Amino acid sequence: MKQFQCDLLTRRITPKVVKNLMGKLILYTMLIGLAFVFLQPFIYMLVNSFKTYTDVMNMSIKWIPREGTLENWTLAAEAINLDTTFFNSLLVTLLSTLGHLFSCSFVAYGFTRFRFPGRGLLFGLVIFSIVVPIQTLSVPLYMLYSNLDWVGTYLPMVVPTFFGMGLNGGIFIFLFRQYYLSLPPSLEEAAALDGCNEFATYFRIILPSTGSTMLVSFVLSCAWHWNDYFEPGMYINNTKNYLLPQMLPSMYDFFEKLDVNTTQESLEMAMKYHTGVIMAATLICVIPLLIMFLFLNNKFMQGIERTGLVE
Amino acid sequence: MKKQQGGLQKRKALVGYAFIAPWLIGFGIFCLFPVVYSLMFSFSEIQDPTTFSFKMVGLQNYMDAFLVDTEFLPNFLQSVGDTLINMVLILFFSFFIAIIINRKIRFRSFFRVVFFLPVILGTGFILDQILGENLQEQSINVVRDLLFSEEVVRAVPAEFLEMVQELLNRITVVLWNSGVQILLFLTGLQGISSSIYEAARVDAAGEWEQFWLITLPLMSPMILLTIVYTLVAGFTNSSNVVLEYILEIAFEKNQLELSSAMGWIYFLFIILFVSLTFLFMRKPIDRASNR
Repeated sequence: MKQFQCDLLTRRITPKVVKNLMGKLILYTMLIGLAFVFLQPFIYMLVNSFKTYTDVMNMSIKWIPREGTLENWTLAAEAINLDTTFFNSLLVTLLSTLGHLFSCSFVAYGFTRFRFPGRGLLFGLVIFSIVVPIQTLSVPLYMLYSNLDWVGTYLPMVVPTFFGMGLNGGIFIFLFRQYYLSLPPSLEEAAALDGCNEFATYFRIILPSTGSTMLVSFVLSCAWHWNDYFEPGMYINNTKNYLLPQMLPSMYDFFEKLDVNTTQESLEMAMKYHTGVIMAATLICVIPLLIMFLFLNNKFMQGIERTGLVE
Repeated sequence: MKKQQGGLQKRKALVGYAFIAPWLIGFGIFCLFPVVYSLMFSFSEIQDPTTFSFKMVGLQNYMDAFLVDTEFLPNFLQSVGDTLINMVLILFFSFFIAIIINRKIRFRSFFRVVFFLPVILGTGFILDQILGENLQEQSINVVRDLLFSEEVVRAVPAEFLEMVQELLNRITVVLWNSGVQILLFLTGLQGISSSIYEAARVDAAGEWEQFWLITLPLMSPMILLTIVYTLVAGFTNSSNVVLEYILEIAFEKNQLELSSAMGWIYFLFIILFVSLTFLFMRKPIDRASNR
């Protein structure tokens, strides 16, 4: 206590204190400014999703709706068939993520710890598979899947992930390889002395130690698959099997066309399905990912801070 | 003894192949096969669309992409220019953000969640919408409201305001595309041992010196990785103008051959550009980080 009082008494407004304060002020202003740029679209969507039609049309109401309504959310949930599309998306996302985690960690280990002819070239091809834009391959891939009778099913999205391909599969191989490179070889040497063969060593010792890389890959793979609409848009043509993000483009299209027509009927539709509904629908698509991220956030950060040397 | 060692090496190699076998199969089916097919398309002309019988026409489609099609080259150049400008900005902002959220700041976990939003939402339709016209208009207006009062808006020329808008626009796009880069930089920063900084502080190095003499050289391998990632992500982004154009040629104008040729021109450019970047930057970076 006494120490504290002394500190207060002896503290003078020196140039150094001013400089420190200024530094802090600039730092926090920038932080808040940047955070605002990131959050602004969300706040905008959130606010609009609670607005009624008259509030949306009223340009003077920007941030606080005059009369809040939940109707947009129920309309949006109905319009995107939430009860089926949500579970479809969940299924595809979880299966593909599982495929990525399993295959990429396994394959990356082969690329890191064993020497074999052609390793450099093959790893180069892993990078190649990341770099080649999926759009260039979409036509032959479509032909392939239609020959296999996979069009209309989820197989085109799920099966490649179990072979280290699929959406950004190469990136996960790369991530796991970075992790394995940081492991000391003594771990495997000890296991080999105890009579483990390479596969047992991998499954019993290496795989259980990948926790943090697994988690980072899990979050990324989930997010990328959940958000993807290019591949589902190509292969899923049956409304019953639609995935959640697929509904949004058609909804935005529908919304744009409403403005053009001027019949009584379309006016009524426009009053029912206004920006607020679209915003609610967009938020519904995002919320599952947000919840997952908020749950895993601490662990995710620890995964990044694996080395934990700060502070 | 020697023979035994050779045998062991052979066994190791075989096990290695066994580990990568799933990927080899997957690559063959889901990448190599389509790549070969698409290459074949690009050198041929489809005669009967129902059976896909085609005849080789050599480089005709590649010539057409440049000489006949008037929109390909401008789209191509715009994509490349956009990617390069965005890369510089993304690198700068993400490095900056990574450094500040790596410091001791108040509400650090809140800021971290906010800055990682793009990592989970940074792909897909939602991002395109957030950055698309609908919200862009709105966000620009909001930012402008905050920055300028009515008098300022009236006093300055419209061109200047447009420029500012353009700039803000780009910053929004850049920030929303820098999620993974912030992640990479943060990982790199975490990897620098705090004892190095302590030693520097003992030697009375200020924050500024610590940044230039420790952080930057030690981060340079990560910076190279991030540059390569950003280039690839920018070039292969689905909202890229040239890729959109290539898809339009394929599916709306039904010119598969031309679209494949354009795809390969673009892809060759990416590969060349990225590998040249890597080659030219690797040496100085190795030197810097091993100092």
